[in-house]
Amino acid sequence: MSPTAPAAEVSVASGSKRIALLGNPNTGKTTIFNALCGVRAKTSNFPGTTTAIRIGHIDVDGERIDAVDLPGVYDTRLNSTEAQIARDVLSGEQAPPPAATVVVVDACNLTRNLVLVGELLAYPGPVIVALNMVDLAARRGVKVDTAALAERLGATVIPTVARTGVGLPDLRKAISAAVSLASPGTRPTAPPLGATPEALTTWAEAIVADVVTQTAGGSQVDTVTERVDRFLTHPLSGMLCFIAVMGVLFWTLFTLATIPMDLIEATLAGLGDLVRGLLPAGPIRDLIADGIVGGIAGTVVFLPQICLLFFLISLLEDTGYLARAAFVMDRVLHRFGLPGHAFVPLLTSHACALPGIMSARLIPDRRDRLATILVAPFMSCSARLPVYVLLTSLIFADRPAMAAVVFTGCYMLGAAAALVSAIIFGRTLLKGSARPMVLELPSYKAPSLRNALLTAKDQGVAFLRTAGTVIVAICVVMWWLSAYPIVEPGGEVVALRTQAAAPGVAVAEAEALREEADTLETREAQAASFAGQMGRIAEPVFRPLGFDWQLTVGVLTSFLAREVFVSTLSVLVGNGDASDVDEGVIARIRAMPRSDGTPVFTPATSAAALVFFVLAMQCLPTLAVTRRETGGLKYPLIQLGYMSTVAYIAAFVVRHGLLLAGFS
Amino acid sequence: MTNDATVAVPLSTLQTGAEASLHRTELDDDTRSLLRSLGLTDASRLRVCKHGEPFIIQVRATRIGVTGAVAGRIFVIASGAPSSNGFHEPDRAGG
Repeated sequence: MSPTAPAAEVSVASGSKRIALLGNPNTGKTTIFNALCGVRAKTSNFPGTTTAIRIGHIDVDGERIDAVDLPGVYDTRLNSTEAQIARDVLSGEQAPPPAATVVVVDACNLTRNLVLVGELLAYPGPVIVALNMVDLAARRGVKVDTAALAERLGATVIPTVARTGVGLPDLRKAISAAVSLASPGTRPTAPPLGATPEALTTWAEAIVADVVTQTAGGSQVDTVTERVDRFLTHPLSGMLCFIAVMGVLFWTLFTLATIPMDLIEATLAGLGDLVRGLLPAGPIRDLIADGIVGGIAGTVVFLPQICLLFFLISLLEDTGYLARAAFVMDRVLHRFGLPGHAFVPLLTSHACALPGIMSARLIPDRRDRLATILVAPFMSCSARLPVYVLLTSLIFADRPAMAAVVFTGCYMLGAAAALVSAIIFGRTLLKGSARPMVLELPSYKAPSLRNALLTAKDQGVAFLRTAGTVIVAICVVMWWLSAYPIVEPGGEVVALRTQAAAPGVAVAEAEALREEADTLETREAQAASFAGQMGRIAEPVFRPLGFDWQLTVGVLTSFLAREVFVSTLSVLVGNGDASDVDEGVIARIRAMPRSDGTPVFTPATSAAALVFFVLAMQCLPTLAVTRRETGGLKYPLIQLGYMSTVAYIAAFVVRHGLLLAGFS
Repeated sequence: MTNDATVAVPLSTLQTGAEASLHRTELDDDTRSLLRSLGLTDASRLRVCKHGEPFIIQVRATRIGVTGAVAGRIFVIASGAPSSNGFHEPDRAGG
């Protein structure tokens, strides 16, 4: 942990007290935190890490108590970021230690959970045990004598059922009382700090033997769960089930996210038009209407996919299925140095790399998480679709079947590049293979809609607060590069407009002339813009791929978003409405000439451009999210450099291979 | 444990329903620590819920999935034929 890391996020608000919430994963800790703190909680990275913690506050009789929801841990001494955060918070490394610690314990699995309680009792400050899921324990014939447990631990024990709210008022009162205590009181059998897991287990077993009774007929062997596990992790049925679940998940994601995305785009386009109507023409109007509103649109449009994805993942995780699915996919992905958990980020990246990379938080090991983040953008996202459609149409004008085959091949090439790159990173930058999969398989249960909604909200807000601001800035800069410097209309444009305004010209003909003048002016403006000038400067770099300055401009402007490539080319061939790329426009792009009059889009150059766009990191927002998720510039720069190099070399090989094979 | 070396077998060789106690592991420190934190401490008793890939074991009330490779590096002392509820000893409630 960096000693210089800012501690503001975990510090105590002036005049308030703070508690920490801790527990094993899958104990209902998040549900309890949500019930105590509600929707006002904020998610942010723990100082010096990229691990998220949640901070909220609990109101008890007018008293405000801050609450820090620490990541779920089995043992605070593990060599993991989550355990390090727990140690830092409990020992007061970053800020004063919490006034009290609430540890959420699964009543159905008391021995293992008490091991963590034993560790916490060694720290200063009162400990409150929220004995959760007592209803489920009762159904399994497990009865816990909470008074005896409290006496043995020297801690307050509150039986709770987080899902229904049972025990939560008592828990609030206990928290209020505990933060006012000067000392934790007597702890009759607290294990010493640094006790081994074996010693802690022996201590926990002794307590369980004294305070727990199991009614006749109760058994730890859950035959139903075992049967379901065998089915869901079986090589065949497990894979079929995985495909079905993921199919439903991504169908839902694609289908439902489109509605708010379209709505956001339409609303912000309307806002841009409103600004244009209200403000006088000039650079300020252009900056607000096109730069800022356009930049906000380019950021907010990602929100529906991000929120919906995390909502669905949260539901799926709550059911207990994700742990089983991770094993199913581990068989495939482990060979490439990726963990089984990587399937969610990789599949999500087919929709968009931004939520894909954000969902890599599911992966527990940092090395595995980094490997997944680095290769996720190779998966063909939806923004590549229009580029694939355009370029395959250029290559296979009258052969739609071949276009479809190559189109599919693009997706396979992207996936293959991701997997091969994972091997390469595993042997170089991130040496070693994926950590061997060891996972707790939690009980199956109904998911919590409230938790899923709050997770979606938290992730959406976190995206807007961090990556979102960078993306807006990128969008504004890219707009400025494409729009400036403003040049005066050329002679041909002026002549066309003069001709349109001449007396005696029919209305329809005048309209056509004005339209032609507008198109020509847009094309001249694009060519003279900084992006256009950069295209000319960068042209020699891309010349070996067969790209001329126009195609190079398309490559540069598509850093904003890949689909911009299509609209840029559309404008360059004189299409007034850049969003309307019909057969006529495709024909004009196909015939687009170089300076020497020869066509730009020969089969070899088109194929090279297609391969380039499959493999290149043409997306600055993705780099912004990688920076956020990896905590620095190192990995986004590696991602950009690596993917660009791979794309360039592959495009070069394809072009020259085709030329050698006799294609033009 | 004088004869442990002769009776300890890889966990991966046990069939579904078999019971055993942990003898030793030949795993990296992080994986070993994670298993201990999940309850697979020295000499702890376990039950095989599923043989194969993944290998699923139960330690007290915790079900742990491990890859076949990990199961091959966990050495256990088998306890003999399983009882009707999977554990020889009376269940420790809640444990």
